[in-house]
Amino acid sequence: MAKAPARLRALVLDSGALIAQERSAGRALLAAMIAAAIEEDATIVVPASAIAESWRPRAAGNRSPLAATVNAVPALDEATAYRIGELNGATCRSALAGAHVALEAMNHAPCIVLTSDPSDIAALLTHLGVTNAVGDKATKNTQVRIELC
Amino acid sequence: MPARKRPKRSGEERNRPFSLLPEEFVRGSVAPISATIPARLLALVRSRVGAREFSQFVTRSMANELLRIYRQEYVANVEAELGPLDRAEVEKWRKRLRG
Repeated sequence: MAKAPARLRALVLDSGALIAQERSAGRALLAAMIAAAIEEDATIVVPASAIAESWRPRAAGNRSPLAATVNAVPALDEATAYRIGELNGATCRSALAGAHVALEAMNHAPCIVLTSDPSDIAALLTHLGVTNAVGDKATKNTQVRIELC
Repeated sequence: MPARKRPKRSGEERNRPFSLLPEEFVRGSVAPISATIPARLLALVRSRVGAREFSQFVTRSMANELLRIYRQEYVANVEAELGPLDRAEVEKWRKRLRG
């Protein structure tokens, strides 16, 4: 019997990915990621709190250029707010965006999280049951893989 | 007349739920359109999509195409500024997305 093709991973962007586009190297990395997403028809997700954490108004426009390339911006609604509070409480953290990214990564698994703080996201994901998620440690079976931007 | 059997959706379609479209594409009121489509293509779509799902199918197709254009524009703008993309880097991301 033919083996079913593996499910394509989604991309979940942390605020660090949005901030990375301020640097030339970051823009090049993100453009390569988006080119791959075009070729593979992959889903890109940016939690709303990651935009809130990273966005500052600019003369160039009133919206992050990266935001136009994403499929979904999951909102911070009441139910999610309670889940973020629980997760931050259990892991002794207070950052809103990191916990929101970790929860959305679980919602969109299998996925890749692009972040500037892999250890923080890894700690949150460990609490959610995902281990060995960072870069080369991740295997095909790792539901959430974390990449540095 | 025998009841029309609802066609099974492919795995790829199941993995791309309607909610995973940019909200700005699907927010607000709806508007009817009239379009001229090759008859053969229309028949193929109708054979796979129920009457009630047709508008959703067209919406999803249009939104996906628009998203693809936005992504191509992002890449083109970066290439205009920084030069051609590193193909090795693109291939690395493609490999990561597949597994």
